[in-house]
Amino acid sequence: MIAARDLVVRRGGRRVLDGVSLVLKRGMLTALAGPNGAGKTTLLSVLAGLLVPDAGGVSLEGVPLARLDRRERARRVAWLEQGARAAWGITVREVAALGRLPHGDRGEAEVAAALAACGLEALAERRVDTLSGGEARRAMLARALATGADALLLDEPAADLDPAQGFALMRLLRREADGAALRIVPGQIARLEEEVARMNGELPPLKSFVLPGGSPASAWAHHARTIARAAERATVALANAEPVNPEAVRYLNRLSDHLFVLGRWLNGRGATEVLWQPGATR
Amino acid sequence: MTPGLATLTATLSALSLLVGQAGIGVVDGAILWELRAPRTLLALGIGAGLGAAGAALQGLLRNRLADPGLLGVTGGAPLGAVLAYYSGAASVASLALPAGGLLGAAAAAGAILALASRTGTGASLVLAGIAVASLTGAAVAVALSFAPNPFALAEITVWLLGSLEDRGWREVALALPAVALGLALLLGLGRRLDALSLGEATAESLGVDVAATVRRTAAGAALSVGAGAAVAGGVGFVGLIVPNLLRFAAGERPGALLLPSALGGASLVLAADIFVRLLPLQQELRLGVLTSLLGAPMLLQLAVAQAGRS
Repeated sequence: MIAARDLVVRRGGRRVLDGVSLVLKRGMLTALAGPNGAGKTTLLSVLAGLLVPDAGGVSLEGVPLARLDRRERARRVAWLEQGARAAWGITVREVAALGRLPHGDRGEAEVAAALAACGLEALAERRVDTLSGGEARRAMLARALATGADALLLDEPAADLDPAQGFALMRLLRREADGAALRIVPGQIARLEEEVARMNGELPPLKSFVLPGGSPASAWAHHARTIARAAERATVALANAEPVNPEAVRYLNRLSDHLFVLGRWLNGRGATEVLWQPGATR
Repeated sequence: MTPGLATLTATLSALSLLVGQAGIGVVDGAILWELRAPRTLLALGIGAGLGAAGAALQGLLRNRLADPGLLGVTGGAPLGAVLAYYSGAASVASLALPAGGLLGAAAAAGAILALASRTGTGASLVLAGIAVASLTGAAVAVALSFAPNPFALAEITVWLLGSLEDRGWREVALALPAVALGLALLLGLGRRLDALSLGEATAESLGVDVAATVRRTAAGAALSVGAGAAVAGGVGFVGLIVPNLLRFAAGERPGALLLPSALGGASLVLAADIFVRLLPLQQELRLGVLTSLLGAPMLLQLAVAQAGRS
């Protein structure tokens, strides 16, 4: 459990974080929502122990983060930097193996598992500077997973990922949070609705914290958009596997109508984010 | 890779012992012991220091164009030597020149470390290094322009060009302990530099003390390169070229480049020093001039290759 109390971070005379408190529990997937400049990245840096707040503090299982030895902290909290990339042409496996640095071992089993979880087995010996943006992003994610930390703090993990990979990432994170295997989306259209409904049912435990500058409505918009994107990605993934089934299109239309209404409702209550643009994720 | 380079270094060391103006082969025990052995040891140490420092700085700064010379580490040595020369100490004790160089290098390294430690990032190290390099360069130019007589000017200029000619055991005793200490600091940096490939923040999140790594790299580079510059003058381009050449063969992981770069640097300086001794010239071609002559086209070729790849 990570607990942050009354965090204050000042940057250039501005309070980027102003009294933020939150609790991240084991087995829980938490999304941070807020407009640009709300302090999402700053908050993650503070939670990862990389930025010392001007006031307030973060504790890990009751122990103040500042009191942990830096290697101990690195073993227990893994952090994925926004837009992280490798400066040299090192291999995907070498990138993932850096996640074992805090342990001081080679951790070949953990590295292999992390590569497999990110779908990188076939690319393991490729140099990261020859990969696409999304593939390189997954290599960085594999690095964070290979540490085997209690807490994974991911800053924009889905950036650069194609819809199928974005969906795979959501499943992966859900599995990491649950510690239990999750069913793969079946390749049959008939089960799509059931699958998304299940996803809908699963998402409510996803907790959203709204940073100053955002509103509860924005958090809801973010939440709803997550569902919508997942559904769209599922459809895209299916369409890649088999010819597009009219039933899937009908289902997606129904979902988008629903989201449109929800979006109007949320905008009326101060949501600042665009809720749903069909096809925008492609 | 490493065994091959080690063999090359050993072969060149043996060759360096067997080559000289007195002839090829073991000509005389005194020549071997008093002239060629210290010269070979110095070439080994200076080359290894330059190679390892170049690899470490490039890894730290995530930039293949980083060079110990550009970072001011070598700037202090000529200034110290010039001051020692002008103060008249050089006419009293022949060791004054390298000792002055050593003091100058230490002062420059201290200034760079103090400046870079304030923020503890690679970028601040570059800024501090460039500032110190420009300052020492300007100070040397001032000193040269006020040279007491043309002979002084000529002598100092020739010293600045860099050479291992007539260096003996005293120079070895002066420089090699510092070089060895610097190498020890640099060669242990491997995994930390690997982590820095992903950026300073990510390295920090992996438990690496980035500020301490910057300090250790700067100190290691200053010791291993500064001490060499103090006794041999400027030997350019080795620190820049060797890691870049080895990247093609040994891969780009910074930690895996440190030891090969030390060996490669030693090989390159040994080979260059053997070459200048073999050239049938009246005046020995300066080692520093030769490495720069070889290095500049290599750098150009590298830049063209890189531009073609991206």
